[in-house]
Amino acid sequence: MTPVLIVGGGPVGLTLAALLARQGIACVVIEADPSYCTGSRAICLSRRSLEILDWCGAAESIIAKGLGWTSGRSYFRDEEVLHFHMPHDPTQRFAPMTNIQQFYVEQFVLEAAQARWPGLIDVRWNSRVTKLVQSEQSVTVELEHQGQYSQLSSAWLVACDGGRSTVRELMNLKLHGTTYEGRYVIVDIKQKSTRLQTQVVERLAWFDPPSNPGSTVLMHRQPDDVWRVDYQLQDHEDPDEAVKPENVLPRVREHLDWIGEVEPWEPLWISLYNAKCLTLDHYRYDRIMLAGDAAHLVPIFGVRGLNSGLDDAGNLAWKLSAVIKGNASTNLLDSYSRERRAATMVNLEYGRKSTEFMSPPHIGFDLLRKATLRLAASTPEVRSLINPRQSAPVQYPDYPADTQNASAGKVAPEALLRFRGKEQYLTEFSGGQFVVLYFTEQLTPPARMALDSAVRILFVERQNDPHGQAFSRYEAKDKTTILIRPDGYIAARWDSFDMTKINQAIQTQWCNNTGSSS
Amino acid sequence: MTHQDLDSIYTQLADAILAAGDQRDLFLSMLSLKLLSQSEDFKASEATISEVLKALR
Repeated sequence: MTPVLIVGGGPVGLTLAALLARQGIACVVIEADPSYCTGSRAICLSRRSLEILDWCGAAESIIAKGLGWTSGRSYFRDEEVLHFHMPHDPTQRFAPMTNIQQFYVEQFVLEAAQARWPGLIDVRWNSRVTKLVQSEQSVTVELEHQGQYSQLSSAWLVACDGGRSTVRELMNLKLHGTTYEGRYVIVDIKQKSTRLQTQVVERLAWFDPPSNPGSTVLMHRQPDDVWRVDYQLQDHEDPDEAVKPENVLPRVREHLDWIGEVEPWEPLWISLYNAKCLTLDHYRYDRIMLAGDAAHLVPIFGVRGLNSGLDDAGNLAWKLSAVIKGNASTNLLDSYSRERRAATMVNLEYGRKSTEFMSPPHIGFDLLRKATLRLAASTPEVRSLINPRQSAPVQYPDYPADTQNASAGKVAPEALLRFRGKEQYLTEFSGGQFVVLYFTEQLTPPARMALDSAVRILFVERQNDPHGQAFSRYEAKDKTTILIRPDGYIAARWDSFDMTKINQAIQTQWCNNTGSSS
Repeated sequence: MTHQDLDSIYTQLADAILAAGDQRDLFLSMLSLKLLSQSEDFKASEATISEVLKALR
């Protein structure tokens, strides 16, 4: 029997497959399409997502192909009203955001995983799930492939099959929340950029531009000379008519001409979008888990869709692996549902706020957006309302908020360290094992005790921390000890090194009982 | 005012404008008058009115 069946070979499903393969777990991936997706789809990867993708071996290819960016500009008519910068310093290995077409992400993840962990990922293209039955011991699906039907059983099934999830439908699960009326047309075009000969890659937004009065236009640069152009439809416009090329192309041309992008161009992909803030009540149903858009739909504003889906994969992979290997109880999988749903609720709140500005749902928000944009030039205090609230990792709520463990449940900060003369980033060590950071002013290794093979200890000496990042970002002192989960989240913290406490904390994690560990 | 407070006020005010319905102009005028009347700085209030009028154009 297949250990894990992943339905959906998009970026979330393939990332989950890669992270499981890294743990030695085999899986079958079922994908309805004949190959990687078409159209650029999700294009903005956060720094956190690149850390996760690095655990799959794909980050290097993504950085080489993608376009990193750290800032964005918003304009009201022809006046700049916001220039925001995301936290970044030259020692960081990933930009806060990287633009790249989704099909590249899918390709790079699968190729890297198959090269590093051969034989563990079996992708079946052109295949659809048509029936699904769950028992105490397994999940059995009926598959359709080019008119032929077959059955496949697995111990676990993870649905990563997107916003129109077949698995979700077959299970009769309903998403709950809000669907907004306002619509955006999404267009990819191929055009060499005049602008980018002198300016860096940035997220660009125009409100009520002369090229499209009353509308909002967003632009993101992608690799291969591609622009993503999103523009807001007004209430009176018919969405079906609006996506016809004869209606789309003049509006895009008008805007390109206005901003001075005059090189020849051609459209590649046209789609229609409206914001949704929807989630399932739970992400685990016995032997079936749901992840990414199959479990939750968040607005594109703030780019929390794919990025939260990749965090789902990171969260689920180590837990499912621990359960399959017999290290953890199946209860651990409930924490996947609890933690990631809590993250969704935070993402939905940010998404709701972004949508209220980007696609005002009623006259009150419409008037306030107009007021904000008109005041922004002269009143800096209101400019934060225009900020797109970009994706950021969410703190998990299950951890005690006492002083000792104030950082538990947060994503572990990045730090550039030097080990044996080689510079390495802390996040490189996660993705497979628990990591223990032991901070020390002078290396006097604590007595070694029996450690589970799933744990790696890193001794962080002052001299190994050339930029002081680890000591300062972890607020560490001599003997501070920090336990980091395989998905890069802090699990516990102590003032001294105590193997008994570390092993207990890991057992606590595996038993899905995240109580105080001090 | 913190960013979070401003965010919260933004949503509350938008919903209040919706609730005011046809009387939203009157609601916004009343709100402005109430807030300006609470200021102890007459000159600053005058400047604010001028500044907003300028931004409106």
